[in-house]
Amino acid sequence: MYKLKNLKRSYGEKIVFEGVNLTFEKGKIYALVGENGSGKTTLLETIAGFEPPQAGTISLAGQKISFCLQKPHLFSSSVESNIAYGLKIKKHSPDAKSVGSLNKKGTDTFSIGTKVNQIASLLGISHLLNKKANQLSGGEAQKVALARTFVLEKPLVLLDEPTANLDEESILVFEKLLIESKAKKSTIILATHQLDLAYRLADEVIKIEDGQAFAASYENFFSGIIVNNLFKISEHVSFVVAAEKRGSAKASIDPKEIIISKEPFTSSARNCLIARVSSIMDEGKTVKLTANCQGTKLVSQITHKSLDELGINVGHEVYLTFKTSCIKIF
Amino acid sequence: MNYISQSVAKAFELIVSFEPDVYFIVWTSIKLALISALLATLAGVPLGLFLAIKNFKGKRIITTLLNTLMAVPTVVIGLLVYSFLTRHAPLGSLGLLFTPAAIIIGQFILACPIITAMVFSVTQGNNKHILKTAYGLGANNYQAIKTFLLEIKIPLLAAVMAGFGRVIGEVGVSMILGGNIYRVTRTMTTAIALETSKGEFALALALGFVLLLVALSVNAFVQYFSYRAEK
Repeated sequence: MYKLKNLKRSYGEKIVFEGVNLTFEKGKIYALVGENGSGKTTLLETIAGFEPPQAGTISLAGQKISFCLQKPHLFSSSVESNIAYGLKIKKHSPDAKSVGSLNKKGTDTFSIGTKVNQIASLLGISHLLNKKANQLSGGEAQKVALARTFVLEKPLVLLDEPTANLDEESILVFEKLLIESKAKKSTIILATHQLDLAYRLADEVIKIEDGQAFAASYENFFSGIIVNNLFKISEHVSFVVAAEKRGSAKASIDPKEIIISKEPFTSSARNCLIARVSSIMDEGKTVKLTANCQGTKLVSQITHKSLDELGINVGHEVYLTFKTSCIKIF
Repeated sequence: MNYISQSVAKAFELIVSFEPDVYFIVWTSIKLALISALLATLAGVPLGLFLAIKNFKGKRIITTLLNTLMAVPTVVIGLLVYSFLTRHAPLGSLGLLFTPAAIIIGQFILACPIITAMVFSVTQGNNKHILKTAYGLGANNYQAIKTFLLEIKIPLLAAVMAGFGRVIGEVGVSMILGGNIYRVTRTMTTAIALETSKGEFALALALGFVLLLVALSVNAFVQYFSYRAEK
């Protein structure tokens, strides 16, 4: 377990973040999300120990970290040398007792070449191994950077915008790599702009905003399976979705897009669920109405006037109507 | 114009006939310049790296000072060092004045700011990224610095060569601190100045050609090295 306690970083007068308390558990994926300049990279670099925090503590138990930077620098050698860099450094490091210790299953002779070939093959860059790194395209360079990060199999992996420059196919390969790494009990912290990627892959999404880090959760965020354009949350609850994706997925619906009515009505919206109001919360100008549909809770945001006109109260049965286009699939 | 062509012809004759005096002067120049450039590299590279990587108060003052030193005339450096090495000066008892060592000290002061400033400039840019990349892949300080130096080898070589270029072609330091002593501290530039004042254009021209050849070789070497590294 890795812990950040009361962490603070600032550049001169400008505070990047302050009072950051986070815990990262072994074998989990964490996504840092936030706007440009919110401090995602600074937080990752602080965890990596590039610069000490102005306040607070970081407990990283041994500090065995690999870090794939945003806009990674590829060394001016071959792709193969780039991927092998960290492994060779480990081999020559005076504190490395045995390189074979990386291979827990027993074979003493550990081949850097084999590891490099394996990761290159997984990322589909085997044909680039003998190429000079400066001859690669942006996407290829990103894959090489990811390969040399993951080949180290470090317990803590930090990734800053890892999918930048990657095409969709490569992103899927990257996701596979991430899941494999998680299975090997590595903790992964990634900073990304891609919310869909963050919510799809991460066990926890952490939002950085105004110098604070907090768990970010979508309202109406569901896990389910897509079968024949139906997003099935449970045996009894499903939505019609307009996504090409099949299989496991996550979906979210903006609470403002859910129309509440006491009677079903004819419209172009393809989803209409019957639910029972479980709570009504005043949120200033609007009201947050939570309704329970066969065990699945959906939140709708409506105005006070609408609520008064409808005369809805907790326990009432309501119809929740929403269009397929307002369902975001991850 | 006739005397120029005659001088050129004589200059080539001096070069191809392996005239010992010419070669001694050339060798002295190259030897002193190489030693001072090497010493300036040993001091300038770590200093440039330190300035670029560390943030501390007074950093701007040091960089301004470096840039100023790069533009200081060689005779001024010669004069300053002279004031420390002359008989009654603080370091006068060392007896370094009019020796090759005095020239090396002066040339070191000339080359060091150039190398430091160039390394600082190279490191300050995106190259900080190289160090972070190395650390991010598990390198310790020694390994990260080694990787960094290998990555910036071309601009680093250019910095060293710029330092060498500054000292091989200078005359002020060699003249004031070396004294232009025959077969001891006479360098190409001081010999050119002397021979020209004596009206011996042939020897001056011959040395001038060698100086040009050295400059050309240095640049060709850097170009070739850059080309090989990029390939």
